[in-house]
Amino acid sequence: MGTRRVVVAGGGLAAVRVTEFLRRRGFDGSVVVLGDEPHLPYDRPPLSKEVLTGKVGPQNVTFKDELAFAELDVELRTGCAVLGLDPGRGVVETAAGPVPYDDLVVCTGARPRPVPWNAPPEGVFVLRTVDDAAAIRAELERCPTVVVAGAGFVGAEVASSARALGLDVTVVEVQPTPLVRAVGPQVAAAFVSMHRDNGTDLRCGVGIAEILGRGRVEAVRLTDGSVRPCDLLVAGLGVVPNVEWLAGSGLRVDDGLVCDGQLCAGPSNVHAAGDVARWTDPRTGRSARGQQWMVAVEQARHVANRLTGGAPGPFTSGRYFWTHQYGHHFQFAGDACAPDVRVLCGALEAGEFVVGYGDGRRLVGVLAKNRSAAFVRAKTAMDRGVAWDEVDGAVLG
Amino acid sequence: MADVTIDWDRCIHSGMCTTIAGNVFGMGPDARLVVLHHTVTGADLDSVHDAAACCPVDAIGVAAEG
Ligand SMILES: Cc1cc2nc3c(=O)[nH]c(=O)nc-3n(C[C@H](O)[C@H](O)[C@H](O)COP(=O)(O)OP(=O)(O)OC[C@H]3O[C@@H](n4cnc5c(N)ncnc54)[C@H](O)[C@@H]3O)c2cc1C
Ligand code: SF4
Repeated sequence: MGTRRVVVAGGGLAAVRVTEFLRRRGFDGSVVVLGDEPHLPYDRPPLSKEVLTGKVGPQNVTFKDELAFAELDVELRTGCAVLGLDPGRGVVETAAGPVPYDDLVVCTGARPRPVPWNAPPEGVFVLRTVDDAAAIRAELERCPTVVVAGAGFVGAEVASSARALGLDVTVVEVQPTPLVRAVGPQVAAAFVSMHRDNGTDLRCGVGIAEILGRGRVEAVRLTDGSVRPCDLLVAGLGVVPNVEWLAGSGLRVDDGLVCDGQLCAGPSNVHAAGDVARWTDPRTGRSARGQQWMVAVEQARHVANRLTGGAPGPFTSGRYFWTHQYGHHFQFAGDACAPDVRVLCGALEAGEFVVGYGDGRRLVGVLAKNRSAAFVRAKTAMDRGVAWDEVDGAVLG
Repeated sequence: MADVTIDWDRCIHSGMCTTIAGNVFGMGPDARLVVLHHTVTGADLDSVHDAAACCPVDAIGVAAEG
């Protein structure tokens, strides 16, 4: 048994994967995971999908049980918030006392942006944790009229799940079109029509001005003056990284823990992975903070490689994400901020399509709706650096 | 040595396994995802384990043989 000790701050996806990759690469020192939630680490994507529709119970989303952590020889401390960091002494502070480390991996993730309105004590929720999902699921069983604030991916999935339960759903989105930054304007329009085709009342270009109701939400007043009845309000207004505990540590924080291209956060023995990490993507030159499942896993893998002597190159991500809405399966990889957009197969207004994004020279992004095989072909072509002119042949075969 | 399987009911065709363990997972003649080699060892087994950890729906099974 080695004497080196890796401490992982945070107990979500990135934390669990760091421990798994470390052990798989033969790391034989001690590994300690400090997570503030009272639960075993669990997977978040099912929360807005199968957990809200009742297909999967909230107790069934954990990554592994205590025995599996013990078999991995990982000391998991749940309900243990990390309160501070002293990189000079090599310790993190917890309520139970300081925890020394040789290497620290920061995986404290992000939390929902809080609702900006004066909210009554009941009927207003955000969705990040399994407890949030269980509470919203219980409300969906007795609330016929649901308002979702924000038409981003989590908001759209909540709306889709509520519609699947036959509820009356309004989505309020301040932008004229949702998801423009994520998928570009042409493709974003396809998401708009999908909401409407599935009976969701999508109100774009208006915000919520006020929540009405004393003990519990009864309605919302929109910025255009209209009033919408509401038994349950779920806000999906984006996330903020969990970095407050790093105050005073000397580490640079700027909408996330700022890392170099190797995910190193300053001192050579402090790295970050997951939604909390901000790094410069070498492919685009842009500073980015991933908020996708796969980016967290890729970063966990890169950091584990670093800690076990591998990964000489900078961190790169395929930036893959998926979302499930109204029975449709969407997958994306690469970069959507590219100037050229072309439908490679299907049609945007149809039930299935593959869209390619190009930078004038190469295929740099792919988005597919219900076209899995074509998506994998296009993604493989993109990874191989296929020229923009040759994209159709590469994807259609 | 280990036996590799994909649970096709769970697989969402992310293509991550083909990116990470291209020797073991790939495209079949009908352009569908397939397991190219069901029995793997050595470096291929290491990459299969990485692919399993990167699979978003836990669809890759790796069972030790013997
Ligand atoms: C409802 C929902 C649905 C999603 N669906 C998809 C999807 O379909 N596709 C996709 O690509 N991505 C999806 N995501 C995003 C994906 O789940 C995240 O990118 C991923 O969970 C990030 O992992 P993480 O470990 O960085 O952060 P988290 O999973 O947030 O884990 C961080 C953990 O650290 C804990 N923590 C925070 N501060 C401290 C502290 N000071 N001390 C100790 N512990 C602390 C947190 O409580 C949390 O348990 C979804 C997210 C949500 C919320
Ligand atoms: S990584 Fe998992 S979900 Fe993705 S294609 Fe492979 S088996 Fe399917």
